[in-house]
Amino acid sequence: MRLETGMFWKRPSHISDEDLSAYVDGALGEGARVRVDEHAAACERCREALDQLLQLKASLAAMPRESAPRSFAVRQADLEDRPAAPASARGSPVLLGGLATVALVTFVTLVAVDVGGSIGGSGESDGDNSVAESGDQSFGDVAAEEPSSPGGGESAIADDGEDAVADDGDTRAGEPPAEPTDTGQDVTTQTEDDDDGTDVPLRAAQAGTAALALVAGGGLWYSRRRA
Amino acid sequence: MDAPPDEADLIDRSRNGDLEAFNVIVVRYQDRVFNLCLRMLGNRQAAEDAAQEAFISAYRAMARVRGDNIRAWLFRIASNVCIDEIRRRKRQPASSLDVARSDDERPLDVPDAAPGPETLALRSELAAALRSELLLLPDDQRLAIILCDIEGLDYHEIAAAMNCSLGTVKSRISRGRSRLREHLHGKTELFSDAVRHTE
Repeated sequence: MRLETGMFWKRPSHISDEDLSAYVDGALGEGARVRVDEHAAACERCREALDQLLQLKASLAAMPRESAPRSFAVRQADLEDRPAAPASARGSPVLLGGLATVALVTFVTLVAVDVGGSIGGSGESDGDNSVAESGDQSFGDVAAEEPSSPGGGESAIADDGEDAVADDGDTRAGEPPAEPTDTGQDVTTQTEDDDDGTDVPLRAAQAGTAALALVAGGGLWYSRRRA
Repeated sequence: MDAPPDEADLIDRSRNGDLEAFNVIVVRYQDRVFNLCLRMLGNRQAAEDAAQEAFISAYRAMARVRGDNIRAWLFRIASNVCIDEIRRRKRQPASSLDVARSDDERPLDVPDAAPGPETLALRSELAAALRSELLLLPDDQRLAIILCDIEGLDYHEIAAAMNCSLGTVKSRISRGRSRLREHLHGKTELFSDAVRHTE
């Protein structure tokens, strides 16, 4: 149970709103409940707050209820009229699953072509490192952004405690780039040549397909969870 | 006279695709699901649509559901449908909650046996004030308060229905009540009078 206390001067402690609210619902443990009882007996402010909460709870409980205006029994026709996906799903799981699979296969193919081309084309280890570092960075960026797409729509009802750990991926994305200056001028030139040529659209395609796979996969997971 | 069918048996049969058994569950819970939707959406037609959608989704998902607390599970599906509807409205401002609320201004039926005219007037006024203020709360706080104070679920059931932790339930209920107390500050006499008349 939390008690509010002054930081720099002594003032009467009070019971927190959360604990008063839980007390009204009978959701406090025995010890905490006794402490609230004892405190409220001596504290006018907390007693008044408790009275208001009790009145509010009683008034809400007494709100008139309505009978359902019609039967909501499910008919066979209801099941046939509608698509198989539940209404809360953001998209068809079949469609999302297919999209995720296609995007993933395309991504893997692009990476394989990229790595195969580099090894077969130049055979230089400097070129391979350049590709590997560049690829990791792109993928890291995409991975860091991934939770925001499918999770964004859920924020209104998401567990508050989850927000604090949402940015974990940033530390990977924010890692300093690999050192390009230690090697000689020739290597730097070689790396720039690679990046300015066919690698740029390839990187973009890799990043795009990876992002698509992640988003579609996230959507699939989200729609199944909502169901 | 036949005893009412056991709920666990109805759930088992529904999982196996028995629509008739599922509809017995629907009849048991349709008033509560409809009221939850009505409080969340503030509009009768939208609440009817949401309740129907929730039961259809529930039937489709029955085969995958585990456990036997079907009440919390139905509330969870219904609240998801309502939140989807609220988001859809926010994307289409023409049918906002304000419009919906004005749709729902007619007084609700009061089921008491023989309350006097003064009591009826007070309750009606208080219910209208509470209904309006509930609609102004953030969705998660409104849902937590409806489940707790109107539907009478305990914190564990609310956590299951809202798919969140007990601490989050406690916090959402507390924050929602604080807002209601703040907004209804000028109407405290309504509370006292209504409670006095109820007693």
